[in-house]
Amino acid sequence: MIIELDLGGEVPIYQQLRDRIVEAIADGRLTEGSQLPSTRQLATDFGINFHTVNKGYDLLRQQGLLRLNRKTGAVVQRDARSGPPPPDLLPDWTARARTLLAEAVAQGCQGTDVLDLCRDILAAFQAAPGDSDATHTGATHTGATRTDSEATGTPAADPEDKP
Amino acid sequence: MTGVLLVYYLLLLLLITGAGLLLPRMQRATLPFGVRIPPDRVGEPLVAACVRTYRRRLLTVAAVLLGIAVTAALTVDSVWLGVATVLLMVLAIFAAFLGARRILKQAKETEHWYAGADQHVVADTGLRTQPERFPWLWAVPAVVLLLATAVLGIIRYPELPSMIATHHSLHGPDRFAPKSPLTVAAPVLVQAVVDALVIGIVALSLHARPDLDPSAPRRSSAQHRIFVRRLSRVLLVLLACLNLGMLLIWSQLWSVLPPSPWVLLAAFLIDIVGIATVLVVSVRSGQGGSRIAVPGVESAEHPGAAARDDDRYWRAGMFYVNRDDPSIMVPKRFGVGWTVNFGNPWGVLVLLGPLVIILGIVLLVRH
Repeated sequence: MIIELDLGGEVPIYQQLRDRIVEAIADGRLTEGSQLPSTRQLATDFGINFHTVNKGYDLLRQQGLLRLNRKTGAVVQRDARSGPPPPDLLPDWTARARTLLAEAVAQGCQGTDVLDLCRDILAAFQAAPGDSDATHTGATHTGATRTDSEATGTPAADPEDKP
Repeated sequence: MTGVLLVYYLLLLLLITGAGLLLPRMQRATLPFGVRIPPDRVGEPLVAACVRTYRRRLLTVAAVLLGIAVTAALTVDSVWLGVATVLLMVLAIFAAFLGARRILKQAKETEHWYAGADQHVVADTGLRTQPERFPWLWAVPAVVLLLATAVLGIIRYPELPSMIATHHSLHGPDRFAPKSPLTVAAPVLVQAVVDALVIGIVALSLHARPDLDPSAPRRSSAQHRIFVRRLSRVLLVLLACLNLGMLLIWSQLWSVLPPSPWVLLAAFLIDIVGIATVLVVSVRSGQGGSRIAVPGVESAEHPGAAARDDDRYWRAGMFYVNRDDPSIMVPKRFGVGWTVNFGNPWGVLVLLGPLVIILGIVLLVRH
C-alpha cells in the first residue's frame, strides 16, 4: 500500500499518516490482520523523525485500529467487517462530523449536495478493494457484514437534515 | 609483470572513463548532478547543457590521461603512472560533477525552481511487509570459490617454502615472514572478511530506503523492486569474479600453476569482466531502477507532486548528513547504489568498521 504525505500542507504529518491508514482500512486496502511496517522502518522510508510515525501509530492504537508490537511492527486490529463499532466511538465521532458538516453549511453548501457527497464517499469505500497489493494475511471475518460501514456512516446525515 | 599491470590499468582507465560518461544517463531525471529539481523543470535546457559540458570535460581529461598512460607504457617502466592516471580520472569525474552541480544549484536558487513546489514523501508498505529476499543461490559461486582457495592453501601448506612472501612489488615478492599457519592464511582471511562484508552490505541494501518518486509512487516502487533484485545479484556475480581472479593468483603463488604473466592477465581480465557487468546492469537499470520500463503501471499518477527538497542534507552533493533520518543507508545521488547517512552513528560504523577489521588483520600479520 502506498502512503503519501504532504510536507507543505497544514495538517501535521502524524495526523496525515493516521488519516491515510484509517482511509485504507475503510476502503479495504487494509483488513483485520494486515501487516504494517514497524515505526522505525516507516520512519526510515519517509526519511522523517521516528517520533512522528510513533505519534501517528499511537493515535491508531488508542482508537483500537492498530496493535503495535516492537518486533513484528504493527498489525491492523479491525476493519469494517470486524463487528459493531465500539460504543464510545459515536458520541465523539458525531461531534467531529458535526463540525465538518457545519463548515460546508456555513460556506453555503446545500444539504442535498452534501448528502450526495457523503453517499459518493461511502460508495467509494465499499467498492472492491482493487487497489490492494496483496499484503493481507487473509484474516477471517465473523459477525457483521459489509453493511456495518454503512450503518456507522448514516449518523453523518442526521445533523445535516436539521438545518 | 609490468606490461600486464599496464594493460590492466589501461583497461581500468577506459572502463572508468566509460562509467563517468554514462553517469548522467543513470541519474534520476529529478536529480541531475545531485540537485533536486521539481518535475516541471526536468526538461530545462540548462540541464542538457550541463550534461554536454560535463561530458566534454571528461573526454578532454581522458584523452590527455590516455596519452600519458600509453606513452608511459611504451617508455617508462613504471606502473605508478598507470595508477596515477586512473586516480586522476576519478578525480576529474568528481570535479566535473561538482562543476555541473554548482551551475544547476545556482540556477535553482536564483530562479526559485522549488518555490511553490508541491513537496511530498511516499512509502510503499508492501516493500517492508513483503521485502525482497537475499538471493542466497547467487552467493554460492563466490562462497565456493573462497572455500576452494582455503582448501587449496591447506593442501599445499606442507609443500610451501619455509619463508612466505608477505608483500609483493612489481619485481616479485620483497618482504618475507617465517612460514606459519597465520602467515599463509592471513591474506585468505582478509579475503573472507571482505566477502562477508560485501554479502552483509548487499543484505543491508535490500532493506535500505527506496527513493520513491511522489509523482509516480506505484511505478517507482515496482522499479525499486526490480532494481534491488538485479543489483544484489550482479554484485554477487562481481564477488565471484574477484574470488576467481584471486584463486588464479593463489594457484600461481602456491605453485599449482606454472609462473606465467598470462595467469595474472587472466585474473585481471576476469575482474574487469565483473566490473563491466555491474556497469552494464547499472546503466540499463538507472539509479533506483529509474530506467526500467514497468508495463501496466500508469506512468504519471500524481503529475506535479515533487519530492522533498533535501539538498541541504547533501554535503558536496555526495555525503548525506541528516541526524533526523533514522536511515543507515540511503540511495546515492551521484551514481548507482547506496551511501551511508553520516548523521547516523550506525552509518559511520558501516563505513569505518570494515576498514578497522581489515587493518587489524594486516597489522596482526606484520607483527
